Amino acid sequence: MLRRRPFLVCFAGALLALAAPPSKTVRADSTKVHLAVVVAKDSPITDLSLATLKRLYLGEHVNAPGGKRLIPLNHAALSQDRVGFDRAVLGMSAEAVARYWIDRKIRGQSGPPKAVQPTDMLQRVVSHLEGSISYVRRDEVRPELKIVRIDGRAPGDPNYAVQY
Amino acid sequence: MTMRSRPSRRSARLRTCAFIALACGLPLEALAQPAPEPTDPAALPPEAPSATPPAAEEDPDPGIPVLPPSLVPESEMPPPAASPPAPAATATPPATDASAEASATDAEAAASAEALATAMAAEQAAAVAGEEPKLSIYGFADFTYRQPLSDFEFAQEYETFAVGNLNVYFGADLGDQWRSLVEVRFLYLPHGSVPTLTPDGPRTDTHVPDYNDLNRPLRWGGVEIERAWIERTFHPMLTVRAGQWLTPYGIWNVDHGSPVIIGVARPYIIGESLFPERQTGLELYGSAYFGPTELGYHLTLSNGRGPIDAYQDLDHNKAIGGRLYLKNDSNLGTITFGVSGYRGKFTDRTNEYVIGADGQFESRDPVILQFDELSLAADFKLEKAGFLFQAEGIVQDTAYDDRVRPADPGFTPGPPGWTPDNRRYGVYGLTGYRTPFFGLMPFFGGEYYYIGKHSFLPDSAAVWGGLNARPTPRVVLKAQITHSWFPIPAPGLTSPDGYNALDLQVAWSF
Repeated sequence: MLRRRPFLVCFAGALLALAAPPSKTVRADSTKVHLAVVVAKDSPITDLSLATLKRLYLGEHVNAPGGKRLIPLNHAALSQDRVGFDRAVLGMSAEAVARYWIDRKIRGQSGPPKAVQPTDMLQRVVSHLEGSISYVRRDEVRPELKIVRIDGRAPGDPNYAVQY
Repeated sequence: MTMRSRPSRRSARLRTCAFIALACGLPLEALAQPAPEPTDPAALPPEAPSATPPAAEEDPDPGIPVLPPSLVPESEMPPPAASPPAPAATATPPATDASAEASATDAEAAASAEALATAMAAEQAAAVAGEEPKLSIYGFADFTYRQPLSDFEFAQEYETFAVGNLNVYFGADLGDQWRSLVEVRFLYLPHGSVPTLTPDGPRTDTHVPDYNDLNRPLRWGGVEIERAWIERTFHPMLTVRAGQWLTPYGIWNVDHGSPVIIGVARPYIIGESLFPERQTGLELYGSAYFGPTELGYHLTLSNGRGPIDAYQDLDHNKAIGGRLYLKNDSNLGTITFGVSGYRGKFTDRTNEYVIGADGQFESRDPVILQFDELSLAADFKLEKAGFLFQAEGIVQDTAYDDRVRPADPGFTPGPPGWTPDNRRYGVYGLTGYRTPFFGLMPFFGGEYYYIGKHSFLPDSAAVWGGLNARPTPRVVLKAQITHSWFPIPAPGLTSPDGYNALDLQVAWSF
């Protein structure tokens, strides 16, 4: 019977594959956009934890190794990469992020990172503004910037966190 | 030939337009750029560079979407499109064209970026140099309709509308890690208020003739300074704040604003100020991270509580307080646990002018009321996705100085005498879940407040529930039903059914 209906085997296999729990290892998926976290070439930062990156983009005070405060720069709200970054790093939807910043300001805490647009300009500013940090698609990184590893992983690596 | 003739025709058109513009009184700058062609956003590649000029701005208020704000009214801003991510291969490649035109454009962009970066870096330097810092003005307000659903001896029986809070913030980054915040609340009060201890007394009347309007009556209101402080961050583990600030205890007091808090009314233990709501003095705070766990602290030194504590301490005893919290971010959600404490001395004095034994004129300021207070609190908060649970418990002890122990005004059972030392405590818990549908959050909570064994009504309790909706991040709609009662009723004084009310509120930030 199986020999007669090979498509049944394929179908059952596909079902099993779908029903199986997802593997914990997330492979680099070429259909996903990997965002590279970037700093100026001469920045001392080479690696950040995802938790630190999250804190940085939630308005917490984070210092660079030299003791200088890091300045996070963002993409415009609702831009595709911004929404993807907020989901991947902050774990929040665009609405939740907006609520977060409003609530934070009413509590009297500091406001959101500055947004620079367009992306090309954002990168150029990062290269010129000491202590600044941002993110950009990995294949758009300009030569004057350096990619920061996140939890030891670079964009394109398996399990790289900043992707959507 | 063609190249020459085109500019000349364009120049002629510009001259004609300039003439018309001058005749119409239009600024010539309007002619400098042709009007942009409307662009179909759908036709653009996912991350096509925007035609918007370079800009760095504090995220439009968070609130919302900047994309060209001039084109999309905030109120009509669609939810973020869940457009499929573009494969990396289709992303716009970096410019590699080496033509002269491209080089010029590149040089211009580089110059703009450098100027922008310099401006951003100089923003702080300018503030240090004494130039005007960027002042951020924002605030919140709320409007409430209250419908009593039962008769209650201690509450208004009439349904009413009210504008409750109208708070305005003035915030500024002063450069070099200095920051300032001032918040004021505009009030209709004191007009119409009646002194608490003489409820049958006359209402305060603030009517005055308005010279600006033929001396017709004008009813003025007041301004309450909610907070006014300056702070300097030295390190993530140390920020020093000076001025008047909200006491950093628990959750609710720091959330503070009606758009942030979930329900309509504050729980008893918050509203009854078992901790001072705000203090004037110094506050140190900071935090450190240990993996996904944040350990933070607040230490305070202030005038403490008093009749005029915002600007005058009436004893040498400064109040101290603090808060220690742990915040953990994991798959379980964000969990915060904190403990807080406050120790202070309330002192009130009066002024006397007497002739001393040596015949000299003397000024004295004898104490007329003094008590020590100790407040302790614990709080817990769990947030995961849209789920929220928060709870706080507070206990407060007051112990009077026997030399100035006040007379009991007769609010306690038993014969008139002296006001006893007292212990008050209470708890509240609140839970809710923010759904993705219009930001709708059903919530439910309960609370218990022990006023003191000497009180006629030693305790009170309430349960409440309702809906909190945020159709946009800046607008919050709330509907809440509250049932409160005295667990130990005073026969003849309180209704056994307790008090029921419906509150509808819209709160917004601006």
